[in-house]
Parts: sequence; C-alpha cells; structure tokens
Amino acid sequence: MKTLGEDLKRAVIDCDEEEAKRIAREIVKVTNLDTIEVIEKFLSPAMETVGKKFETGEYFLAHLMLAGETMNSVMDILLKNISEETRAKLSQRKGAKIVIGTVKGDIHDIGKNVVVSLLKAAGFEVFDLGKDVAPMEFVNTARKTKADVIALSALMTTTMPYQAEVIKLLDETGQRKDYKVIIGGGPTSQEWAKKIGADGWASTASQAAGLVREVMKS
Amino acid sequence: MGIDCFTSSWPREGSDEVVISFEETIERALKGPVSMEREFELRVFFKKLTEILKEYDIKYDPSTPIPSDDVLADEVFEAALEFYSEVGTYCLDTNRIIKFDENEIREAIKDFPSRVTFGKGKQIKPRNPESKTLPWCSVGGVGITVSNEEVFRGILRAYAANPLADSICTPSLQTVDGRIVVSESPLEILGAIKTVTLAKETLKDVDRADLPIINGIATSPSDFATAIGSQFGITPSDALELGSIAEMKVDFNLLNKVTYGLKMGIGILAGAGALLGGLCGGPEGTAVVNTAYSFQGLLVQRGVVYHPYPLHLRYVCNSGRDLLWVISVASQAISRNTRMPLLDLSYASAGPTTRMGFYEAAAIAAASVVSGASLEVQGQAKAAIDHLGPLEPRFAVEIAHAAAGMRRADANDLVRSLLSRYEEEIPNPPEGKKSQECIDIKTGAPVKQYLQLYNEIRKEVEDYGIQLR
Repeated sequence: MKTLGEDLKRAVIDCDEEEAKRIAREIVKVTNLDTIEVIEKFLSPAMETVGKKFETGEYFLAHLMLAGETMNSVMDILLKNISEETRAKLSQRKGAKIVIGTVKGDIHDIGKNVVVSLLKAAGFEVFDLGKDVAPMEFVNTARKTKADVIALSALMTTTMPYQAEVIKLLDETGQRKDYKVIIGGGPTSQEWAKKIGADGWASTASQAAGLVREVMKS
Repeated sequence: MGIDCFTSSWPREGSDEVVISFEETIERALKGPVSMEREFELRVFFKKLTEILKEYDIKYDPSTPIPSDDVLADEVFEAALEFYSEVGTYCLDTNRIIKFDENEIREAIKDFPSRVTFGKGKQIKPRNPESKTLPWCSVGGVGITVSNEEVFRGILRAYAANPLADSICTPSLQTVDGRIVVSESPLEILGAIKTVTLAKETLKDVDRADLPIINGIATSPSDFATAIGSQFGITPSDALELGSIAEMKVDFNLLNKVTYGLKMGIGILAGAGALLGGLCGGPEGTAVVNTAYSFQGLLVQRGVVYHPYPLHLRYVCNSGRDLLWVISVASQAISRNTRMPLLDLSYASAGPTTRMGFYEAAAIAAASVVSGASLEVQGQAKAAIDHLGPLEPRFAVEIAHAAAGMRRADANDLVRSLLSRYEEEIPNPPEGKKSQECIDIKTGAPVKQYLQLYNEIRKEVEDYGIQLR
C-alpha cells in the first residue's frame, strides 16, 4: 500500500495522468484501502509539492493545471465505490468551499486559473465559474454550493465596479454575513477592497490560499 | 493607412489569386475541429510545445540576453511555424480550432504587403537585426487608466511634446463627467467616444494632429465601441490595436473588430502577449509562441503590423533578463524571415519618475531595435490609475534611435549593464508617482525633479558611450 501510495504521489507530481489513473485503479482493486488515508498521506502532499514547485519557478502554470486534472481523475476513481460513512468523513475534512470567477465584462482568466490551481493544491474545494461572470451568478452559486468564500477577479478598471456590485447584491439580499468576499486582479488594491467592503485582497496569486485561511478565522 | 488594395485579403502580386481570405478564416472558425478549451490548452497547445522544444535546438542563455545568433533565430522561426501549423488558434465562441497548414502560412508570409503607412503618409518599415533604418516609435499609456478628462488631456499633451514620436497610444478613462465607467454599460461607450474626441482635440491644440492614434478606441474592449470610433474621429490613417487572448485564442468580439478594420481600411496592429511561466513554460517556449503569434496575427487578426508584448506571468513586465531574451530572439526570428513590420511593446515593472523605470525602458528599447523591431513604449506592470509619465517613453525612444545600426553584441553589453541596475528589484518595484505629480496637468510640462532625473540618466547612458539625439 505504501509503495503504491508513493507511486501515486510521484505520478501526480509528474503530472502523469495515465500512470496515476492506473495506480488508482490498482489501489481500488488489490488493496483494502482507506480512501481518506490515500488522500491525506499521498494526494494532498503531492499537490502541495506541485504548488511549491510553482512558487519556486520550477513548475509553470501548465504543470499546475495538469496536476489538478490528474488529481481530479484519481479522485473520480477512488471515490467511485466508497461508503456513505467515508463520504461523510471526507466532506467534514475538506477545507473551505470557494466560489471563484472573473467578473462580468472581463475575459482575462489566466491569473484566476493560477489562483484556482493553487487553492485546489492547498486542499480547498473550488467552484470555478470561469470568466465574464454576472454578479448574480456568484451569489446564486454561493448559495447553492453552501460556499464559505466568494473570490472575485478583475483585470480591468472598468470591470472592477462589478466586484463592488457582488458585495452590494449580497448586502441588499441579506446574505452578506453568509460569505467572506475576497478580491484580486492587476488594477485592484487594498484601498479598493476596503472601499467596496471586501473581507480581503491579495496582490498575487500565491497569497490567495493564505488569504482564505486568514479570512476564515476572522 | 496606406496599403495598396487592402480589403479582406491581399492579392498576390501580378495576379488576382488570393492566399487565405479573411472569409475563409471565419469559415474555419465556424467549421474547424471541435475541442474543449481546457483540452486545447493542455492536450494541444502545451503538449505540442513540449514536443517542439524537444525536437529543436533552442536554449536560453542568461548571460546573453541579446544573442547574435542567426542560426538560433531561424531555428525559433521554423519551430514556431511547425508549432502553429499543428496547434492553430482556438475560437472561444465556437469551441473550434482555426487551422492553417504550413504551406498556407508560408504563402501568407510571402504575399505580405511591404508598404504600410500611418498618419500623414509616414511608413512603418520592416527592419532587420542591426538595421540602420530608424524604428517607428509609438508613445503612450498602454492599457493604463487615468482618473478623469483633465489628466487625460495633460498626459496626452506631454506625450505629443516628444519630437521623436511617430504615433500615440491613448490611455483609458476611469470616469466620464465624474461618473465611473462600468464595463459593458452605456457609460463605457461614452468613455470610449470621449477618449477619441479628447485625443483628437488635444493633438490639434498642440499642433500634432499628424500623430496617428495607434490603439483606435480606448476604454471599451467591445466591438461596438470600436466600430463607432470612426463616427467620432478615428480615420483610416489611425490604427486598431487588436490583441489576441492568451494563449492562441480569439473570440467573435475580436473577429468582429477585425471585420470592421478590414472593411474600413484601418490598419490592424495584431497584438499578442505570450506569458512566460504560463502555458508557454520558460523562455524557450515563450520565444517560440511569441514568434508563432505573428502567423496568427497575419492570418486571423489580419494585422499589417505584428505587435507582441510577451509578459512574465508573475511580474507582468518584459524587462527581466529572460523576457529580454524572448523579445530579442523572437524579433530576430520574425524580422529575418518575414517582411511584416514588428512593433514590440515594452512593459516596465516600476512606475514613472523612478530610476528603475528609465533603465527598464532603455533595456527593452535596445533589445527590440537591434533585433529588427520598432517600439511602442510603454505599459506598466501594476497599471495603477494615473501612473503615467512622458519622460520614460521619451528616453526609450532616444535609446531606440541610438540603437538603430548598433551591433547586437554591443546592445548585449548595454542591456547587461542596465539589468545590473534593476533586475533584482523586479519582484518589488517602486510604484512611482502619479501623472499629477510628474507633469503640470495644464501644459503637460514635466516637473523640475522629473526632468532632473531624466537628464541624470541620459548623462549616465552618454557616459557609457551611447550617443543620444
């Protein structure tokens, strides 16, 4: 089990999806596995390593994305036949749920994609709405998914007002206290975050996971 | 804009035969192979780029940010050609890939019109590495927003005072008549119109109506705003700066603007920002993709000028050693193998009125010009509101003129010397000052300390042995 787990970890770090899927199937087939143990001992550390390699410049965005895809494929295999009890345990252990997207009118999503990958690597459950997302869609998805955090990216000064609009919508529909709202993107700033009533702002993608942990404590 | 016979495609010399028409490109956007966006990014783009880099002998050497290696440049060109013919351009609205085979790309390159003029008949000429031909120099606030109309007028006056400027790039407006511009709302359209009317009025006021506006209409990225630009002052002697979506993607909004540009006879600057650290990987991959974008620019964006702005994913500038190498190698690759004029766009990390900002502007200018490109200066990493100054672009343009005819090896020494003064600061650059602190907003004249800094740095460069005009 330990060897297979280490092999799985290595395959995720190497972004080798086919090999990772093969090992995951073997784990399900031949071992009396503890899914939670596989995830916590091998998969989460693998994604942490990938995140660190990105931080140090050894890995690029493509590696982050490929490792994320590999992780998703492996999870599909591992979670297919687990008991309800294990599923419930897993749900309790997951980090914060985050709804994220680039706001309306903005089609720039590479920075947001980096944030998504790093948040996933840090163990958060992420619902990525993509780009050019209408304000109400953030609000509705956050309610449906019972999210903890709404993360709003804007790369243009003319789309920044839509970050403010999401917060206004939450306020006006009486849901502001249900979520932490964090913002980011090139032209945004701490002052802007304060002005629109956001709970947090990060200047770089690599600060996002730390910011989520910080706002969840407050 | 003065290209002979420029409609939706260019005819082969002495024949009516057309290579690939724009209509054919649209047809391919509608009928090309289907792919999901993520699949295109990882299984097509990144996979092919990884294979290409194994196949070709392309190596980044940090000790030589400006290589004098023609073989390397040609290798990058061939790698880019194979890469683009295999990968193509992804259309976000149809989820289909617009593909061209290698012959079609080579034919389009061969048939590219060699004469392109903007403004009052001034030609933007294709250049070669170490060419003595003076570069076209465009100045302005690329992608930067100013808070109101007064700052807009002031900074435009300041840019227009640059005697070496061949064209101008207008900034965007954050407010119109005191109201915040909101994307996709009528206020955005009003803001877009205002940028054109204000720019034309201001240029006329300062007797520089000859300067073409190179970015068409600012403030709104919509096709609608672009199309109404000509109702409010944009003419065929201006240009449209139309940027691709990273990486190798377009949408109908962009293709609609291309359609408008072609039918109006306004020259298109085909923009593209390959991201180092993103799907392009490291410097080698970014150089290949940056070169490949010129083919997309020709066949999809229908550019008469290729306008690259490769950027660092993390630092959003192209003044670092690795990006200078990318700029240099890709510019050499394209200028040696095509007749397409190149207008490299510089992005500094530091803001205006900082020593670092001047050094960065100079390094990018030298790297671009000795490698066969012209220059637009400049964007800024943080794109903070009102952070625009006229003297860094002025200095960069002076360096650009001085670099015409310089040997690449000499430029390499100059760039290394400049890098030693700023590269460690790139992760935490100084923000600089706002336009209101750099210039007299009424007249556009730089304030005393700013002028002093400019003169100091000019002297440093002249002491190094570079003769400035």
